[in-house]
Amino acid sequence: MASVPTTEFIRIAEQTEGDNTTDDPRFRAPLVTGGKNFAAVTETVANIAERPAPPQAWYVAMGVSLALLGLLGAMVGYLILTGVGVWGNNQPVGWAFGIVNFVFWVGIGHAGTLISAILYLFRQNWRTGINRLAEAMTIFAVICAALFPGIHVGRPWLAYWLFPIPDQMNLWPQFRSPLMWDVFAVGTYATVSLLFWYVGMVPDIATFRDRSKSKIKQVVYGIFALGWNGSSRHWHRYERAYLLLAAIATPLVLSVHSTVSFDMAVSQIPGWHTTVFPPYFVAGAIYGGFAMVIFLVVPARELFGLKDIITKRHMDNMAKITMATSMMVGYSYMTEFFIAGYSGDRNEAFTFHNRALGPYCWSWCVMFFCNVVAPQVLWSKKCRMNMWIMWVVGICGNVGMWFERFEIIPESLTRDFLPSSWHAYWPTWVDLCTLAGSFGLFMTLFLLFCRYLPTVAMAEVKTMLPEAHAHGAHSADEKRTDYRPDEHHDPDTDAPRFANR
Amino acid sequence: MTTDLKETHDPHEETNGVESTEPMLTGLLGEFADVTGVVEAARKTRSAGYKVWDVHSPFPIHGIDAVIGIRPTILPWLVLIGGVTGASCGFLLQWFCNTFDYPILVSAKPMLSLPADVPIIFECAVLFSALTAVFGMLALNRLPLLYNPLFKSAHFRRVTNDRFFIWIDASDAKFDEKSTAEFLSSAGATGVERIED
Amino acid sequence: MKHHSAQREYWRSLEHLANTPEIQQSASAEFASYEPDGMLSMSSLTRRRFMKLMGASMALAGLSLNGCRRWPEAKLAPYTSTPPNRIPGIPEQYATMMELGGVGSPLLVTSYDGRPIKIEGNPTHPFSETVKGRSGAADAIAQASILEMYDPDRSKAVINRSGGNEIATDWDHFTSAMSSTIDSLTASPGSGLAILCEATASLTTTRLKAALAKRFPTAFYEYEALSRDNERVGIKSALGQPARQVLHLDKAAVVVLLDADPLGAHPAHVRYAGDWVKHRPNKEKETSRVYAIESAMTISGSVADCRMGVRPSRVGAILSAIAAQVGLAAAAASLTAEEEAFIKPLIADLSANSGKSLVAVGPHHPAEMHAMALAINDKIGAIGSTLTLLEEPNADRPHHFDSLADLTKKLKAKQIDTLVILGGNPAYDAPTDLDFAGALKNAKTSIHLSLYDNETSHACTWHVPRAHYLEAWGDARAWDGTVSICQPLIEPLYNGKSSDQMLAFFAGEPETESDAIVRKTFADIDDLAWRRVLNDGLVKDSGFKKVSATINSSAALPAAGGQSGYEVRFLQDSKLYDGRFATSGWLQELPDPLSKIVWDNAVLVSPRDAAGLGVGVGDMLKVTVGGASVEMPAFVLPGQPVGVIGLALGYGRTMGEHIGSDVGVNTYALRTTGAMYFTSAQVTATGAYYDLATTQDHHLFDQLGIQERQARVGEKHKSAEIIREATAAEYKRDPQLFQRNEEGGISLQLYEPPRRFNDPHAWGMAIDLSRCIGCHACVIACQAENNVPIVGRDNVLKSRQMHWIRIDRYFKGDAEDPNPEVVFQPVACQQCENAPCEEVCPVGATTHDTEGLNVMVYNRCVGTRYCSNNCPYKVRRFNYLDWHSQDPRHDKYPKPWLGLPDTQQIETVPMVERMMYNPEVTVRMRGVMEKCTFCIQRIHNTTIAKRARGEELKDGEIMTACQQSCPTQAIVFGDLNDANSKVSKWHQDKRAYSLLDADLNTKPRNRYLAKISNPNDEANG
Repeated sequence: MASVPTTEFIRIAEQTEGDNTTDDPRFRAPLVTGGKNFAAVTETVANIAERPAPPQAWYVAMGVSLALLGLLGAMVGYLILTGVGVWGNNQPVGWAFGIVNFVFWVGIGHAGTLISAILYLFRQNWRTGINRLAEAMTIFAVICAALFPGIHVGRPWLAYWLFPIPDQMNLWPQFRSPLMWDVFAVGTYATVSLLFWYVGMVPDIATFRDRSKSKIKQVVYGIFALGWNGSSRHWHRYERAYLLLAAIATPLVLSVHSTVSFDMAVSQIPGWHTTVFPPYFVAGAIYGGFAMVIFLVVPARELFGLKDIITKRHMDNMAKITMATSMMVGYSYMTEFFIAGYSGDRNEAFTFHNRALGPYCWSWCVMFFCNVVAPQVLWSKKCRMNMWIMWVVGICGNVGMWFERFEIIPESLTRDFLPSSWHAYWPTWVDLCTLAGSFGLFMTLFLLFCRYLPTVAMAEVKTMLPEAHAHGAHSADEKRTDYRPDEHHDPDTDAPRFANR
Repeated sequence: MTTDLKETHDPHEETNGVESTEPMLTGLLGEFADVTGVVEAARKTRSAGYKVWDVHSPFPIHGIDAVIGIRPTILPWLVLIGGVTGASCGFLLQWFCNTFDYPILVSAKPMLSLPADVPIIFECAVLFSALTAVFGMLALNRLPLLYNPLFKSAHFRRVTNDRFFIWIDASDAKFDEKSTAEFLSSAGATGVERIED
Repeated sequence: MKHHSAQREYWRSLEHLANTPEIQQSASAEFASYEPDGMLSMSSLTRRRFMKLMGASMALAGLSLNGCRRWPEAKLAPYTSTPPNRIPGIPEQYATMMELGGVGSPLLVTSYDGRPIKIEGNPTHPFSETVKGRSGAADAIAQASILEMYDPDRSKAVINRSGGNEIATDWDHFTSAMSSTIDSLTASPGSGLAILCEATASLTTTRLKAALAKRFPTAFYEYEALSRDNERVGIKSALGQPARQVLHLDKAAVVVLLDADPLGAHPAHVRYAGDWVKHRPNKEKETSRVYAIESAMTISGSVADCRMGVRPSRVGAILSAIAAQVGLAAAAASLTAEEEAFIKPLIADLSANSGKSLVAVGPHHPAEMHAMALAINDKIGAIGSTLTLLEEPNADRPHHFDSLADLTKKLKAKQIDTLVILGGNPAYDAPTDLDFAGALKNAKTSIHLSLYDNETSHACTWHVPRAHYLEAWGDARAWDGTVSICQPLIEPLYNGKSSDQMLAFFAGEPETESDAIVRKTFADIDDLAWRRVLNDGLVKDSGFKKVSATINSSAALPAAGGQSGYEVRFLQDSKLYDGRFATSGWLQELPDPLSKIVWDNAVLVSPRDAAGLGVGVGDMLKVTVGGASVEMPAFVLPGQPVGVIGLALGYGRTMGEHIGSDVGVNTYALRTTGAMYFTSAQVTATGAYYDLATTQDHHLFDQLGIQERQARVGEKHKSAEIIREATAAEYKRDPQLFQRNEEGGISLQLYEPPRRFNDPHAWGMAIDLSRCIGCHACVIACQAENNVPIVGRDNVLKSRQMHWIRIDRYFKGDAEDPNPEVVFQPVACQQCENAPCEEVCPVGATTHDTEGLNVMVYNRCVGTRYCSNNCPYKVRRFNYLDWHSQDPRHDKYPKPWLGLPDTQQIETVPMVERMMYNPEVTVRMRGVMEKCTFCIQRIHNTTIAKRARGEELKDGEIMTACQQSCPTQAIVFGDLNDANSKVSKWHQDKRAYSLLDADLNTKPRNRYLAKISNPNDEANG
C-alpha cells in the first residue's frame, strides 16, 4: 500500500513537471518532494547534525559571525565603561540606533511565531517545512532585541529597576510607562517563543537521541528529549498543548509589536503620536520577519540539502505573504501621510512633509523602495521561482524595515514642536559597529542551531507524507495536504486530527 | 469527539516506581512497519480486551485516540485557569505597586488608571497560560522520565524514526507472555520483543 | 520635610566619614605642612601636592564639598575676625565688588563654610538692585568670575624669566630681587619706574600711586583694549570740563541709540536695563520707544522698537543730520533715502518728547560725535532729566590708547628700565602696529602681575601671581562713583598678591596685607561705620558730584569718507569681554545672545553679503586689513548691516591655559592704533569649511526647515503659536487680543487629577517677553546655582549642552529683511501639571510633588531618555558622558572608566573644582537626566526655615537663581495660592499665555506674557 502515494506522486509529477507549486485543484501538490518516506525524511534532517563536518560555507559564515560578535562585545564594553555619549544621540534625539535596532530585531522575531501559530491555526500545512527554522530565528532575533534596551539606558547596571522587584529604595516600576509594557510584552514573547520552539523540538531531539552513536550525544540529547517515547497518550496531550500554545501565541504575536509601537504612539511627538501604529507595526514586523526567513532559508536549503522538504512551494507561499504584507506596509505609509495632511495639525503635517522632503529624505526613499517597490517583482512567478531574486528581496525587506524604524524614531525627534531645539542626528562609529555586531550575535546563534539541532520539524513533516495516514474510514480526508475551499467536510473527521489542529 | 469509550489504563502509570533488582518481565513490544498496520492491530488489541497497553509512533497517528479510546485531556481547563490567574496577577501587581504600596503623582493621572494597565494584564495572562500549557502537558505525561525499560530495546529506537509499536504491559489482567506474543504477531507485528526490567 | 531629614542624615554620614583614621591622618599632615611659601615654588609636582592638600581638606569634611571650612582657618575669614554667629553648614552672604574696565559692579557673594559658591548682585546697591532690597542682578561675566577664582590653571608661583629660562620661585625671592632695583631707583631715579595698569577708580590705588610717586619719579600708564575714553574726551571738549554721563532710561520716552548698547555693553548695563524696563509696558508708564541706528547687532538694538543697520561710517552723518534737524548748527550731511525715512519720525518723536528723550552714541565713535550727542541732548532738554553729568575721576589722564602708544614709544627708545604691569594683557590685546610685546624686551626689568601666566607674562622678565578680587581686599567705584569695598571671600588659593599690595611694596608702605592697605585708605571711617560699609557693600553718598556746565555746541565732525567695500566693526565680546575671560569654561560655553555661537568667534556677515560672497554659516572667510589678515568661519547674522562685518575681540588666545588657548581667532591681529574700532577690509571666501558650534539653529538649515520655523514664530510684530506679541498701539486698542488666541475654555481634561498640586503652596513662574533682553545672566546664574556642567565644543556640536535654562532667540521677518525683529524667549522646565515626561518614565524617576513641581529624582533615574523625547519643550538635559570629569576641550571619545560606575563622579573631579559646587544640589553623574527644578533647594530652605519660625511665607521671599539675576525682572516666581503674589497677577495678566498648551494640554506652571513692542510704522517702512 506504500505504492499508493508513490503512484499518486508520479501522477502529479507527470501533470506538473515535478513542480509542486501548482494550485490546480485537480491535484494535490505534495509538500515533500523526491519521493521521501519516513526514514528518508529523518535521514535528510538528522544527517545535517550527524555528518562529521559541516560544509565549507558554514565555517566561513561562522568565522565572519564570530568576528562580528567580538566587535559587538567590544562596543558594548566601551559603551558601558564610558557612557551612552559614545553613541550619536543628542538633546532632541534621545533615542536613535539603540531603539531602532531593538524594534528592528523584535520585528524580525515575528515571522517565527506567526508561522508556528497563525499558519497552524489556518491549517497551512506547508508551514511544517520551515517553522522550526523560523522559530529558531525568532528566538535569536529576540535575544538580539533584548540586548539593546539594556545597553541604551544611561546607567545599564541599574536597568534591572525596570523589573517589578523590590529594591533598596522600596520603589516600584511605574506601570503607566509604555517601556514597562515593553518589558512584559517582550519578556512574555521571548518565553512563549522559547517554549513553543522547544516543545516542538522534543520529539525530534528524541530522534537524534535514538540515532546518535556517541554516549555523550545520547546523554545530552537524552536529557533534552525528556524521555520522549512516542506514546500515543503523550502525543495526544502534546498535540493539545501545541494547539493551545498556538492559540495563545497568535494574539501574543499581534500584541507584541503593537506594544512596541505604543512606545511611540502613546507619546506626543509628531510622527510618533500616530494611531495607525499598532497594525502598521505588526504588518511591518511580519513583512520584515518573512524577509529574514527568506534571507536565511534560501542559503540553508542549498547548504543542507533540504530542497525536498523546504520545497519551491514553500518559497512560493512565503513570497506571496511577503508581497501581501509589503503592500499592507505601503498602505500604512499612505495612511500616515493622508492623516497628517487631513488632520490640519501643523506640527504633524510638517513632520511628514519633512520626512519625505527634509534632510533625511534619502532614508525615506530607501525605505519606500525596499519595502514597497522591490517586493512587487514577486508578482511574477519567474521571480518567485528564482532563488537569487528571492534572496535579494529578502535583503531589501531587512534594509527597508530597518530604515522604516530609523525614519520613525530618530528622524521624528530631530524636529518637533519648538524650532529652537531642532537638531540633526548622525550615528557615530560605535553606533554602526554595534549594529553590525548584533548581526554577528544573530548569525552565530543561527549557525550553531543549524549544526546541532533539528532544523526541520521531522515529526510534523512526516504527518504530511501520504503514508502517514491509515487507510479506510478516514483516507479520503487525510490525504489532503493543502487547504482547499471546495473540500467537502467529511462526517467522520470529528475525531481529533492532529496535524491540522 | 468520541468520549463515550470507556477508559483504558496508561501502562506507564503501572510500570512507574517498579523497584526490583533481578530482571522481571514488564511487557511485550510488537513492531509494525506502517501506520495502517499498527492502527488495525490497535483495533484488534482493544477488542481483544487488553486494558494496559499503548501505541508508540514517530508522529501522532491520526485517529489513534478513537481506536485506543484515549479520553480527551483536561489540559485546556488547566490553561484557562492559568490564564485567569495570570490576568489577575497582572492587575494586582500594578495595583499594588502604583496604587497601594507606593503611589506617586504622575502626569496628573488617577492613581489607578486601568487603561494603562491593560497591556500588562494581557501579557501576564498569555505568559501564565503558556507556561501552564507546556508544564501541564509534561506533568500529565509524567515527563521528563529519563529512564524507561522500553529504551533497552534496540528496535524501539526506531520509534522516533519510521517504526510503530504496540506495547502490552505485563500488569494487564489478560496478559500472558505466550498468548499475548502470539496475539501480537497474529495482529501483524513484524516482530515481538519481551522487555525486562 | 522629606528634603530636610535627608539633609540631616547626610550630615551624620559626613561626620562618620570624617572620623576615619586615614582622614584624620591626612588632615594632620595637611596642617603640619601648610605654610604658604611651601607652595610657592611651582612645578607640576607641587601642583599635585597642592591638590593633595586640598584633597585632605576635602576629605576631612567628607564629600559634602564644604572641605575648606578648616583649611583657611589660619587667617581667612570674610571679616577680619570670625563673627560669633557663624553656624557651620549655613551659607552666608558678603557684599563685595568686581572692577572691570575701571568701573565696579556691586556684588553679593554666597559663601558656604568659607567657600564662595555663588555670586549675585548687591540688592542694596543702586547699580544692581532690581527689587528693592531683595534681589540684585549681576551680569554673566561677574557671576562667572567665581569659576575663574577656583580655576586650577591659575598661576601659582612667581616666575623669573630674566635669565632667558623659567625659574619658578616665590614672593620672598621676588621682593629681595626687587629691593636692589628699588635701591638703585631711590639712589639715582633716572627715568624712574613705569607702571602700566588696567583702568581703575580705586581710591587705594590712587593713594598708593601718589605715595609711590613721592618715593621716586614714577610714570603711570593705563590701558584698556575696550576703552570708553572717546566718550570721556568728547564730553570734556563739549563741556570744557571732564564729566561722566549717567543715563536715566526710566525717564526717557524716546531713546535714540547710535551704536550705543546701554543694555548690553555699558559698564552700568545692569542698572540701565533695569531702568529701561521701567518704561516698557506696565501700568504706570506708556511704553517707551527705542530707536537704534547701529553698525552691529547689539542687545539694545535687538530689543529696540525701530532699528536700522548702517555702516559705521554713516553713523556720524546721521548724527549730524539729527543735530541739524533739532536745530543745532551742524553741517547737515546728505542722507540716503532709507536713512531719511528712518530719522524723519525719529525727529518728530524727539521734538514731541522734549525733556523725555535721550540720544546716546557708542564709545567706539570719535570724541567729536560724543560732543555733538551731548549738544543734542542739551538741545532736547535731556540734561538734568534723562541724563545727568557727574564729575569724572582722575580726569587729567590721557586717552588709554595714547597712553599705551606713549609707553611703547618710550620702551622702544629704551627710556624705561623697569616696567611694572598690573594686570591686563597688553602683549595680547595691544594694537598690532605698536608691537608692544617686542617693545617690552627693551625694559631691563619688566614685572607682570596677573591671574594667569599669560602672553604678557611670557614677554616679561617676572611674573607674579595675582590675587583674585574674591581673594584680596580692595575698593572700586560704581559708574556713579559710589565707593564699594572688595571683601575677599577666601584666602588666596594660589598665594597671589593684589595690585595694591604690589604698589604698596614699591611705594615702601609699611602695610603688606591687603586688608591693612585698604583700611588705611579709609582711615577716616571708624570701625563701627567700617563694619556697616562692609555689610552694605558701599560707602553712603560717596558718588561723584554733579557738574553743571554749559555746552558749547560748536562740535564739528571729522569728515567720514563714504566707505565702499566692506567695513570691519570690532566688537566687545558678549562673554569674554576683551579676552581676559577666555579661561572661563562657563563663559566659553555661554551662547552669544544673538549668534548663539559657543567656543568660537566668527565673521558676522549680513545675509545679503553672504549671498554676495557665496558663503553660508561655517564657510571660511579671509579678512584682510592693510597687511594683516585672518581666516575665520562666516556666520550669517540677520540684522547685520550690509557691507559691515563684525569681528568679536578676545579669542585666539595662545596662552589662555587649557580652556582658553586656541579658541576662535585672534582678531586683535587686525586692530591698529589708526583703526581701533572700524576700518575697511577685503573679504574673500577661501572655500574651506569649519563647523561652528551653536546652541540653536545648528545643522538646521534646509529651506524647508527655515520656512517652517518662520511660520511657527510668525511675521514681524505678529502673534504666532510660539511667540505671541502685538504693538503697543494694537494692545491699547484691544487688550483682550491675546486671550482670544487661547482655546476658549474647552476642558481637554479626561478625568479629575488626584491632586490640585497646591498643598500647601502652588509654585508658578511667569516670564515677560517684553522684558527679556537676552543677556544670558540667568543662564550663568542657573549654572552656578545648580552645578550645571559644561560639555565642550565637540558635544555642543552634538547638541548636548546642559544649560537648564536656554534663551530661544528668533528672528522675525523674511530672510531679505535687513532689520528683522528679534524675540528672546527664555525656556526652562515648564513644570507642566499634566507633565508628559512623567507618565513615560518606567522607574518613576520624575514625578510630581504636591506643590506642582515636576521633580527629578536623580538617584532613581536609569537614563532611558524617554522623558526627554516626550517633552514638547525639550528642556530636559541628559548626562551622556561624565561631564564633570571629562575634558571639555579634547574629549571626542572620553576614556573608559574602570572603577565602580557609581563612583565615577567623585573620583575624577579635581578637588579645587569641587570646592565650588553648591552643596545644596546633587552633582549629577553620567547616565542621569536632569532639568530645571525651580531651584527646589531654595524653595525648601526658605519654607523650612519659615515653618520652623512659624511665619507666613511672603511673596518674593523665594527667588529662583534665574529670577534673581535678571536685570529686567523678566522672570517672576512665587506661590499661585496667594492671589496677591506677583506671579498670580502675571498669570492672570491679559498678556499671559502658556506655551503649546493649546495643542497639548500640558497645563504648564510657567506662563509667558506676550511681547509688546512699540514700533513706529513710518520708521519701519
